Amino acid sequence: MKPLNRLQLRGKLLVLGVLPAAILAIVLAGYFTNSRVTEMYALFQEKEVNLAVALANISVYGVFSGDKESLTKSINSFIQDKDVQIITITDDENNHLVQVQKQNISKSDNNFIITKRPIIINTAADSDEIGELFFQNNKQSNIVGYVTLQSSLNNISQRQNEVLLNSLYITFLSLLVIAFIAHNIGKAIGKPILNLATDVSKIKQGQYKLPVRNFSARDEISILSHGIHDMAHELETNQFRQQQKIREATKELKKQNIQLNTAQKNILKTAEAKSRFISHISHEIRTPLNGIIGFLGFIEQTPLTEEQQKLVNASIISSKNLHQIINDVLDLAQLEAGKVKIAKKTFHLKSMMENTLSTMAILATENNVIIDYKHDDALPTHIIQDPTKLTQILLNLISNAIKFSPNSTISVQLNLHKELPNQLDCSVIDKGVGISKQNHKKLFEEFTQFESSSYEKGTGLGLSITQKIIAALNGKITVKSTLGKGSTFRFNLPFILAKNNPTTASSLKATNDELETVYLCLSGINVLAADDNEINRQLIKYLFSKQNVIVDCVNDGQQAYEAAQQKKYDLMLLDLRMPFKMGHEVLDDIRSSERQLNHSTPAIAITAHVTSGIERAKHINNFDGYLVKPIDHGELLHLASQLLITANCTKINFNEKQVTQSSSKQTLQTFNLQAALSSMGNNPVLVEQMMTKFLTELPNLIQTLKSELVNDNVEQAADIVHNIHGSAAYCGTTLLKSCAKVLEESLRNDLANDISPEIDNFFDQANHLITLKNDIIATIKKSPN
Amino acid sequence: MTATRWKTIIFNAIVIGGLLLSVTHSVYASTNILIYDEKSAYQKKFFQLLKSKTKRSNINFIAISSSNLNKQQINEHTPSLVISLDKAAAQNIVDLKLKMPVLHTLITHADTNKFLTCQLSCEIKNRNNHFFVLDQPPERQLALIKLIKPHTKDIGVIYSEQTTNQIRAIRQSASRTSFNIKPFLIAPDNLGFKINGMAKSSDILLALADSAIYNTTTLPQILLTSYRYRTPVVGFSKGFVKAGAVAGVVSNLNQLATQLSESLLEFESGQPVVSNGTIYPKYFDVISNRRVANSLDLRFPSDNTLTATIKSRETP
Repeated sequence: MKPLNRLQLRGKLLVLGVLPAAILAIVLAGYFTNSRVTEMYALFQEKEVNLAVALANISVYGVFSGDKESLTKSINSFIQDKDVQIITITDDENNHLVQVQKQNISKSDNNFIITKRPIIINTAADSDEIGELFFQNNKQSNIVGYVTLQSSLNNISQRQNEVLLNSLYITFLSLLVIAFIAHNIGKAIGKPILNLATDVSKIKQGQYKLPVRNFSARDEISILSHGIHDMAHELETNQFRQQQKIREATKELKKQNIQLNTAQKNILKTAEAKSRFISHISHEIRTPLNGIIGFLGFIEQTPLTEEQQKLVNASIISSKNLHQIINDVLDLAQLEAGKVKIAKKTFHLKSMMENTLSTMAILATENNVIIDYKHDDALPTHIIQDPTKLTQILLNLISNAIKFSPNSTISVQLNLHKELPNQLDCSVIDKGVGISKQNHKKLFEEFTQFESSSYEKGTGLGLSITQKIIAALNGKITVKSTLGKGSTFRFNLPFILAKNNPTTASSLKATNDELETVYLCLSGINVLAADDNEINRQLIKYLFSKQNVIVDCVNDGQQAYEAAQQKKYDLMLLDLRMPFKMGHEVLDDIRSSERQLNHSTPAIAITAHVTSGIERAKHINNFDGYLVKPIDHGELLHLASQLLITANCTKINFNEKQVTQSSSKQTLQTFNLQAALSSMGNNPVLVEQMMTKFLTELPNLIQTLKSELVNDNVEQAADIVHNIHGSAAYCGTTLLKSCAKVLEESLRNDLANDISPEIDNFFDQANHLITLKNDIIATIKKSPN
Repeated sequence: MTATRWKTIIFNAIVIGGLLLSVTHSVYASTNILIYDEKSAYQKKFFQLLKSKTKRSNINFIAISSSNLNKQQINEHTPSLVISLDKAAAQNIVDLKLKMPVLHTLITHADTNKFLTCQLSCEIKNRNNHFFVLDQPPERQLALIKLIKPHTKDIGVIYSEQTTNQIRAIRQSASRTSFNIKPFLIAPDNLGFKINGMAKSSDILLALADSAIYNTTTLPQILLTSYRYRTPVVGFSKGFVKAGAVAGVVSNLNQLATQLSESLLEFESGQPVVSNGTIYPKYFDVISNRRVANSLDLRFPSDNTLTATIKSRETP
C-alpha cells in the first residue's frame, strides 16, 4: 500500500476504482473473445464434420452403386458451403470416385483444414428386430469409402479477426466508458476533496480568503466544504479580532516601553548623576581633605603649645574620620556600580590578621574590650587573595563588635573551612547588645541603623559594604544574633593556595611599614610632579623629601611637557586632569618619539576619580601605574620603587635604621616605638597622643591601685592592672605590660601575700615610665613619621 | 307364462350356461411349453405377443429356458405341444424326439435344412416337428421382382449347400413366370468371383436367407459389387433392405406371432397341425429402399401398394 499512499485522492480513486474495472473488462473481453473464437473453431469443425457425415450418409448408396453422377449431384449441394473448397469421395481402398472443387482456389493457400469421415454401411441387422436371425456378427459395421472435405480457414480467420476486432472495440469502448465514469467520479469526489485540501492548506498558511466554491450539491463533501469555508471565515474574523487586540496591546506595550525607557533613562541619568556627584565629591572633598591631613601633619611637626597640640591632634582625628566616611561612601558607590577593584596578591595570612587586630587595639581599649583571636594551625601560611579587602572586612566586623559590646571579650576565629575546600571560615563573636530577629534582614541594608540608642554609632554603611565586598570576592556572610546576648558574624572566603615564597609576597606588614622604610633606590632620583593643585604638589614633595628625592613640580600639562623636554627624569607623576593638557596627553606627547628625552621614563598617573575599565583603558593604560587621591604614602613609595626596580633598588627597614641610630636599651625596654606604631597603624601622632594620655593617667591609676591594694580590694586592683596592661600593650611599653600581666595573674589567683615582688616590679616600672614621659614623647616626636 | 317370465328363464339359462362353460373351459385348458432364451429380447417380445394374442383362449404357456432343457422336465407338465423360439432350441427339441407336436418358430429355411437333411426319409420320424420359417415363399418374392423391375429376365440367386432345396422351389415358381433363374452355388472362398459374375450377368439378384452367404462380412461386398454393375438386390429382411437392398418382402414379429397364435388356436380347437414340415409366413409387408432405387433408376409403387398387390394376387 505504500506506493498507493504516494498518490493523491484522484489517483487512488483511479487505481482502486478504474484499474480493477479496466483489468476486469480486459480479462472478460479476453476470456469471452477466446471462448468465442474457440467455440467458433469448434463449431466450424463440427460443421465440417457434420457436413462430412451427412455427405458420407448420402453417399453410401452412390458408392455402393458406383453412381458417380449421383455422387456428384450430392457433392454439388455441399460444395456450395462457403468454407468447403474440395470434396473428395473415395472407396474403401482410397480410390478416387468423385472430386469436386470450387473455382478460384489459390494453390498457395495453405490455410485450410481436412475433415475426413468414413462412409459406413450399416449392417442389415441394425434396424431389424429379428435381423440377428438372418446374419451372423450382425453388430459390426463396415466402411465402404471416405468423404474428405478440404475447408478453407480464411472465412473463419476473417471471422476470428472480426470477433477480435469487435472485442477490441467493445473493450476499448468499455475502457472509455470506465475512464469517463472514473473521470466523472474523480471530478465529483476527487476534485471537491482536492479543493478542500487546497482550502485547508491555505488556511494552514494563514490565507483565509478562500475561492468561491459551488455548494449547490447537498452531499457530505459539500457540507464539509461549506463547514471549512465557514471555519475559515470564523478564523479570519477571529484573526482580525486577535490582530486588533495585538495591535492595541502592542500599542500599549510600546507606550509602556517608551515610559519604561524614559524611566530607565531617567534612572540612568540619575545614576550617572549620582556617579558624577560621587566622583565630583570624591575629587572636591578628598583633594582638600588630603591637603588638610597632610598639612595637619606638617603643623604637628612644628613646635606647638600643649593646647595647640591637642587641637591639631583632634583635627587630625576628625579629618581621618571624615576621610573614612568618604571612603565608605565611595566604596559603596564603587561596589554598587560593580567597579570594585580587587587586587589579589600573595600575603602572609597570620601577619595580616595580627596587624588588623592590632589596628583595632585603640578602639578596643577605648571600649574596654579584649579581642581574643584564635588562628587555625591548618591554615596555610601564605594565600592569594585581596588583603586590603579582607582587612576592610575584618575591620568593619571587629569595629562593629567593639562598638556594640563594650566591656567584654570579642572572639575572632579564623579557620580553614571544614566543608568547602580552600575557603577561609572567619567568625567575629561578640557578647553585645545583639540584634532582634526582625532586624536580621535589614542588617545588611545601606544606611541602616536600628532605633535603639545602642546602635547609633556609625554611618550605617559598614555591614552593607562588608557584605558587598564578600560577595565580590565570591564569599558569603551570615549572622546569628540574639537580642541582649550578642552576635556572631561568620563569613567564608575562597582563596588560592600560594607557593610558600615570602620573598615574593608583599606582606601587609611591609605595606604598613612603608612609612618606616627607606627606599635606597629612590634616593637622589629626579621626579617630575605635575598637578594643578598646589596642596597636592606640596604633599608629593613632602612625601618624597624623606627619601632624598629631587622633586620638580609644575602646575599644568603644558609645563609638564616642557619640563620633560628639558630634563631627564627618573619618574614622572602626572595628574590626569590638568589645565592645557591632560595627564595622558602629556605622556602621549612625551612618548610620541624615541628621541624624546623622557621617552622611556616610568610614569604614574594621579587621579581623584574612581576609574572604570573604560576610563582606565582610555587614560591610564599608557601609564606604568596609577594612584588615587588621597595619595597613600606607602603606595606611592612602593609603586615608585617597583617602577625603578631596574636600578637595583633595595630598601632598608626604618627599624633597622633606628636600631643603628639609637642605643638606649632602657628606653627601648621601657618603650618600644615600633610596637606602638604597629599597634596604632604606624601613626606616630596617634602614638604620641595615646602615650601622652596613658602617661598622664598612669600616676592616678597607680595611686588608685595602691589604695585598692591597701584596702585589700584585690579584684578591683586586678581590674586596674588589667586596664593598665591593655594600655601598655598598645603603647609599646613592653616591660610595664609584662609586669602588669604577672601582677594581674597574681591578683586573680588571690596570692596577695606573695606578690610583693610583682607589685614592686610593677610600681617600679610604672614610676620609671612616668619619669621617662618627656623622653618618650620626644622620641615619638622625633620619629620620621 | 308371460313374456317376462320367459325372458327371465332365458337370462338365467344363459348365465348358468356361461358359468358351466367357463368351468368346463377351465377344466379342459391346454398347456403349452415355450422353450426360449430369456436373454433374447426379440424372443421375450415374441412370447409377450403370443400370450396377448391367446389370452382369451384356454392356452397356458409354461416357459422353459432353452439352456436347462431336458425331456423329463417337458414331460412333467404334460404339454399339449411345445414351441421353440430359435434354432438352438429347435435343434435341442428335435434331438429330444418328443411325442407331442413341436412348433419351431423364428427359424430360417436354411436352418431347417440342418435338421431335415433326411427330408423324405425322415419325414415320418419328424412328423411332429413343424417349422414356421422366416423365409418368404418364392412366388411372393418373384411377384415383388415383377413389380419393382418388370422387365427382369435373369434373376441371379446365390446359394450354398444349405439352400439347395430353396433353389428348387424358386425354379419351380419361376417356371410359371418369364423369369430365368440363374443360380450360383458358392463356397465361402470364391464369393467375390461369383458375385462379380452374377452381378454382371443378372438383371436382379434375389438373396436367400443363408448366413453362409449373407453375413456382416460379406454383405457390404455383395452390395458394392452388385451395385457396381447396377444390379439391384432383393433382400429378405428389413435390415437387409435398409443396408442396401432395393426392396424385400418381410414379416415382423407381430405378424409371425399372429400366425402362430392362429395355429395354436386351431390346434386348441382340435385341428391337428398339418404341414409338410415347412410353414411360410402368412402375413408380410413389402419394404423398399427408395434411395437405392433412385440410384438405380428404379421406379415402382409405394410399399403399401406393393404389399397390397402381392396379397391380392395370393388370395384365392
